Amino acid sequence: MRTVSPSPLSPNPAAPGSFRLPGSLLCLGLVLLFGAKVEAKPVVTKTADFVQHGGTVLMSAGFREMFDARLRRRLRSGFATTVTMRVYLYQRTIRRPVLALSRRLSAVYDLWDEQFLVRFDGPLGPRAQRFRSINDVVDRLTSFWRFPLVSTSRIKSGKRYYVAVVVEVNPMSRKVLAAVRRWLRKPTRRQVGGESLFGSFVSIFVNDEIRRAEKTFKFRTQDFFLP
Amino acid sequence: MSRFGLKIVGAMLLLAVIPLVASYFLVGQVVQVAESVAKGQREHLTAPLAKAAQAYRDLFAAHKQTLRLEAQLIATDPLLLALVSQRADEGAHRRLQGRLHELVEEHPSLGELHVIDADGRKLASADSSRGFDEERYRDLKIQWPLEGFGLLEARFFTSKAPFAEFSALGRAQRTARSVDMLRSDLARFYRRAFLGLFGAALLVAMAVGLFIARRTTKRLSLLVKATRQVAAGDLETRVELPQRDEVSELGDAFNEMVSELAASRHRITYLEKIGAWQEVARRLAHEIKNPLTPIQLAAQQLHSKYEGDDVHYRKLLDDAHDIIREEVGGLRRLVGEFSAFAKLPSVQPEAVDVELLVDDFIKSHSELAERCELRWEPPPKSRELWVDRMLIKHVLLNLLENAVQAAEDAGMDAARVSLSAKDVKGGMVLILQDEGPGMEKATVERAFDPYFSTKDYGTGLGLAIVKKIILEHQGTIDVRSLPGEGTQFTLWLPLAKKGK
Ligand SMILES: Nc1ncnc2c1ncn2[C@@H]1O[C@H](COP(=O)(O)OP(=O)(O)O)[C@@H](O)[C@H]1O
Ligand SMILES: [Mg+2]
Repeated sequence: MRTVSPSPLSPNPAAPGSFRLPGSLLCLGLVLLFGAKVEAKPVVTKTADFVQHGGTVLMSAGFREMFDARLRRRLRSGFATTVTMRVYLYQRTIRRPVLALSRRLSAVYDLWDEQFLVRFDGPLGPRAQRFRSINDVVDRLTSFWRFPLVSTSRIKSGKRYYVAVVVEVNPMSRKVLAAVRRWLRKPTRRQVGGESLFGSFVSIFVNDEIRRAEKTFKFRTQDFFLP
Repeated sequence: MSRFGLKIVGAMLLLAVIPLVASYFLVGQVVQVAESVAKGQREHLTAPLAKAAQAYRDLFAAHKQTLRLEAQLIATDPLLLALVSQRADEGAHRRLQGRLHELVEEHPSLGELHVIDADGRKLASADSSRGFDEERYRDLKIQWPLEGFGLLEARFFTSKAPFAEFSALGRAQRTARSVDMLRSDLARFYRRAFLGLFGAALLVAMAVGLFIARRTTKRLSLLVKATRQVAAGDLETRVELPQRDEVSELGDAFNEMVSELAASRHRITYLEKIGAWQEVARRLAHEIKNPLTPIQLAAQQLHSKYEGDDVHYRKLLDDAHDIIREEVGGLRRLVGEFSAFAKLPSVQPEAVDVELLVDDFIKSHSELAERCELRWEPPPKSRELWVDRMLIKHVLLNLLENAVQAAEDAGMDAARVSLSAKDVKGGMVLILQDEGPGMEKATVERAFDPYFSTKDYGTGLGLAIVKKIILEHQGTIDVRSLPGEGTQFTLWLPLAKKGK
């Protein structure tokens, strides 16, 4: 379990050093001129189970519906499927999350042993689990089971909290992302020195907007509170 | 915003939009072409990739199938089966062990072979799996039933290399998918970037347009306001427009026009006023002049016809006669001046050399020149004025008379006066400067009014006549004076045009 930089529900936090100001200025201009075309998919609300156990709040939730037939097919192909989850704990009415966690699982169907192998980071380092049935794998990939969310000492009693989760299937690797940014800035290799002006201009628009995963799924839980 | 402003902003926007719209569509076209090329390429790439992956899957399946067949073959080995059935025998057990080793030797990918009885106990084994190191090989355990006994368990080993190749293929496919995903986004990004550029250009164009429009319309509206003020009669209005361009030139022209308007209005009203006073003067002169002669004659008769010898009465008559004669004389002079004022001749301009004019004036008024020290400074080049010689001399006479009178009344021993002529645009300026007592402010303000005089003997007509004459020459006259610092009259007169 790692702590990642806090970010709201946006699946694509801006890369450090990206030109935010000119970009947003131009966007403002665009919005003024053409009207905003915001693709705001409503975030699903799911009922999760929160229990208190030994000074920790544990969360259990499932979202297997995000694994459609295509993803199941891919899971069976023998190639690895990676699922990352970013978990944000919010206190109601406060914009910044109380904490942010991330979790990463990868599953592969071993064509030789004819079983699924799921790798993930356990509390004591990397772990692997084997499954025969694809449904079990999907369940493993798309659920939190008694996930240690937060120490109860950080929860103010009586206040309402909720959790927001961003799940990404097969997120683009950092290497590919970096390469894409480079291509955008220097579209042709022959260009000596200076970056193409329009390229860097375009990259302003790309940085914040690049689709970073094959599939992204977001949901929030119902509110919970500690007495 | 004003209509003018809208037009300017509109023009700027149009200027910005037309090339951008054109290039937007061009870029769209280019992107589309690039897209379809990339799509074609992608199909060349992904299909073989998928096929290769399938080939690997088939390979693994086939390999497993082979191993399974191998296991079956071993399990049905007649010698093995025979030995298994005689297992109770010590020698047979050893031979079974030997056969297992032989079989492991015979099958290169076989690492271990176990015979397991129905209870799960290992009866015999052959193990050469140490030859397959875990780094490079992975295993597969296959169990096969042994006829009427238990199980045969075979552990095969196979190279890990194809599996590594397969996952490399997987990574390649994933990268291809990522790039694919990005590519489909890319066109959108380019479009959006272009729209951003577009928006920025529009904003800039709008801002520039607004700026220009605002600046110009602001200046124009200043002009409009000034024009309204002038129309309402305020001829003091002037506009101040910074920045040199056509609009500020318009402002300058406007200012010039308004000052000319003010000057000519002043001229007209002054001349009208003088005209009215001239009429009054004419009537007055007429009414007074007529009875003067009978009065004088009657007084003379009274004076001469008395033949009595009453000394006192005689004296009374003499005194009365003197008084009447004197006063009538005064009245006559007054009437003379009045009618001279009333009958001022109209201007008959001709080309007159300034220097000659002034010299001529000084010569013909030697008696006045004697009463003052006049210094005359002619212009550096000879100049011809377009004036009425007689009337200008009249002007000079009146002004000089005033200077002399002022100096004498103030008890100065000599009136020092200087007269100079200077070229100015389109005309000539005559400056008459005296070192007399000067005037109070109130006097300066009324000096040109007809019948305004500070002298007992004055008629107050001198400066009025001067101004009327100058104005009728389309000229101007100004006075500057301060008590104790002398008086300066500045006259602007037109030059004779060449060829007239
Ligand atoms: N050179 C001068 N110095 C001082 N005061 C002057 C001078 N010229 C004119 N004035 C003043 O202007 C008044 C008006 O002059 P004018 O019209 O010639 O009438 P008048 O000479 O009959 O008084 C004078 O009474 C005098 O007060
Ligand atoms: Mg006078």
